Amino acid sequence: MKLSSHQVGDVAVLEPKGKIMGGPDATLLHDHLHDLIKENKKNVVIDLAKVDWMNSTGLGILISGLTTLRNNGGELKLANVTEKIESLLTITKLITVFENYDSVEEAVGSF
Amino acid sequence: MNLESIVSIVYYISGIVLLLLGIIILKENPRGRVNRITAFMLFCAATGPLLGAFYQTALEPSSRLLPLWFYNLFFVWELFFPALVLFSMTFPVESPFRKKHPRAVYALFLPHILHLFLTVLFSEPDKILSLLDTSAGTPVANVLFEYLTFLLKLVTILFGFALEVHEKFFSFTNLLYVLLAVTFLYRGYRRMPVPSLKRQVRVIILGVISAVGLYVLAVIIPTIFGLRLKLDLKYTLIILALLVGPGSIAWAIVKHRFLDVRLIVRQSLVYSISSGIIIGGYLLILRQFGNLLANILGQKVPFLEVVFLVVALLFFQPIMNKVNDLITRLFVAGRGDYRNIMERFSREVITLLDFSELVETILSTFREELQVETASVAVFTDESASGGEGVMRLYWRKESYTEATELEGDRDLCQALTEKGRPTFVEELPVKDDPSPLHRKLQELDSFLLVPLMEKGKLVGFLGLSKKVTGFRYAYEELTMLAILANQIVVAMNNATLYAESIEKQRLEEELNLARQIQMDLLPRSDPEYSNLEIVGYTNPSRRVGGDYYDYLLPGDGRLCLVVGDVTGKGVAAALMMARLQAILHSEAGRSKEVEEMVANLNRLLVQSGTQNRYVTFFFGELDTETLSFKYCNAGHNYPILIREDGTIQYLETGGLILGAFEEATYTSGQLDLKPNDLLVLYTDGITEALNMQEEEFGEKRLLETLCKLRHLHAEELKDQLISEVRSHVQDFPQYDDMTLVVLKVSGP
Repeated sequence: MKLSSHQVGDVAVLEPKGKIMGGPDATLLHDHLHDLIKENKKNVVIDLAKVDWMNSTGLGILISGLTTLRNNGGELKLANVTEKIESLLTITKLITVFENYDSVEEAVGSF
Repeated sequence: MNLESIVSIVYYISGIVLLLLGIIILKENPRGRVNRITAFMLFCAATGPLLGAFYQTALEPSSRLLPLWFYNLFFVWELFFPALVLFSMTFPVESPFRKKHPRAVYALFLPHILHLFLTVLFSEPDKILSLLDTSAGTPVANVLFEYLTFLLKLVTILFGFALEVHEKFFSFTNLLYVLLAVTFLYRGYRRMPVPSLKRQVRVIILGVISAVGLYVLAVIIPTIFGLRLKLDLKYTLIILALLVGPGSIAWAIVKHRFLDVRLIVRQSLVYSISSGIIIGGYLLILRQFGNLLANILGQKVPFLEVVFLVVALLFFQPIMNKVNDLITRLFVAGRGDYRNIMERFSREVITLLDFSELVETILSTFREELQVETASVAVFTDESASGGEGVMRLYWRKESYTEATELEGDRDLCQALTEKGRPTFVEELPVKDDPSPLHRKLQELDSFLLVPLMEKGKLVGFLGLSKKVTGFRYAYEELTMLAILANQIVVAMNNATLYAESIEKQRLEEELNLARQIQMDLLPRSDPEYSNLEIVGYTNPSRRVGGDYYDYLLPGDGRLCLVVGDVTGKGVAAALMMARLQAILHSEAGRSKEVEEMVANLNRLLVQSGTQNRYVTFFFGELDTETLSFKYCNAGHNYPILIREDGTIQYLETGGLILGAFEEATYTSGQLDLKPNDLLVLYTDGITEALNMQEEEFGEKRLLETLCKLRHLHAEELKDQLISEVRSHVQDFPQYDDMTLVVLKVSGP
């Protein structure tokens, strides 16, 4: 997984790319979210357009990201969830937990 | 032995020494301006005694076999004076004048070249005049020659008169040059910033000035004032000058590493000078002894000289060795000889596999062999650190023990070192008003020289060395040696790290075995048996040990609970999570509660147990084995597949969120009645996500098709066939996730 990020207003947009599979990916995303919290940027959108696949560990990363942000008074939202990942979110019922939007603009606008 | 012959011997020796010094200095760095100018000056200086001695001994002066102009070639050596001025303008620091007029300074040579030209060409006006008379040629040319010869005649006659005056005048010029050179040298010396360099410069300046001064006293002053010195006084002064000049330069090279002349050259210089002294001493003794014998016996005894020579030769080698040892100890080798350190490194250091022992040995070797006060080495704690960012671990040795600390890396410092890529003096590095903690620590350790440790063009760390205890500066060959050793150190450190990693890997392997053991222990030892049900469980832990779990619980009343779960993550942590899950599950399931309530409790307890970043997808189904009523709750797990006898397919979705994420998550349960020949399959994503070489998943569709195809088989057979289908899909491609399967089939009536 590669990770890039940019800022839209006061919302941080993360763009992971590739597969989110755990291991170093988990630490990368986790550390990045913690850095954002330190900088007091607590509203985050993860753009999943370029993520081909995610396993259960990848989901775990998203969940811990969400809980961490929520515990700090923030929110994590998803954008451009691909069909495959959406089915994964559906199976795990996480679709009810994560707000997800069809575009980054919508997701950013929802804050 | 008369004065003349002593003088000529000294002339020869000092001439050769000067020549030798010039060659050494030039060879050391042929492109260096200081080296070139110094060498040129020494060559000019060498011509003086060499030609002087040559004229004195090889040619009888009275016989005048050669024309006078040949003798006047001797004055070539006087180019030494402009060369001296040039040297004084370049060494020890370049004078501003020279910087401003880089070419103009060569005009200094003009008077001397003109002088040489005149003295050689017009040394004997009479001869030239007669030569011109006979040069008549063709009539046409004659007319031209008329004018030319007339002019030449005029110059020749004038110069003939002026020669006497000229010589005086020219000595005056030389004196002027000497004064000029002394002034420049003094000013250059004053401007020098580094005290350690001042020392070697002082030796050279004093040597050159006293040598030239002696020459001025012996030759120039008398010529100007028309004095006639006693011959032996004059020669003594010249000999002294010839000893002091080259001597001081040789001293500066040997003792103070003037112009960074290499060790090997310094050594050979010491040896040749010491042999020269011994041979000279021997010759003197021999001559005196011969004279003594001749006086006593009244005649010369050549035979005795031969005997003496043989005896002396016998003693020569041992004495020479002793003297060499003494000189080497005094001037050259010491403990700081780079060969010792090279040897120690290849023998002791690079074979060490323990990292801290390696660091300790490196530091103590540098401290002892280079005789530095403190030696330190800093390495990035994170190997992937780049651009000088990241934490560095600094080890240092000041006393007889090694200390260590961790400091934030200094990006500027590391960048500067990376750019230099060679041993670098701290004073060469950019100065900051607000030095980093690392920089301050290095200052505290009196670090003077930093040697970058590079790997594939990337800085992995550096060595820090303080000034030497002896006060000597770092020689050229030591810097080269340090650069080589830095490479060896990187290799040795890599070896040590790899070794540690292989041990770590072994440890991980053991940990994984342990995890596998935990996992296997948690699984049911056998499948439950019922007359109306076929039940088979299967799990195949992947190489990395995932977090799959399946279980059967029998809470009584003929109830059977089927459980499948998948803990996120792998290894021991996942295995422990699974163990915790199992413990909670078994204690909760004992209490007779509703399925959804039980799962909600399980979730809450897991969240409360603080298993951060670990979640479980979980399916719990409770079957009344008599009525075949089935209640289930799916907490984010892959939907189990129910295939009815008539082929209809049902997915068991009802439930709630993945376990362990949100404490307040609520769960619902689904209910259905099983009928004979119904097939229920619980599985984990290891099955559907089994990849083949083309990274193609086995997939839910294929799973469903296979199940439909196999659904009439006995549960055990069905499981075997399904697994072999999956196997034939993945071939030998290694799988990174566990595969777990629980098959429940209701027997036919």
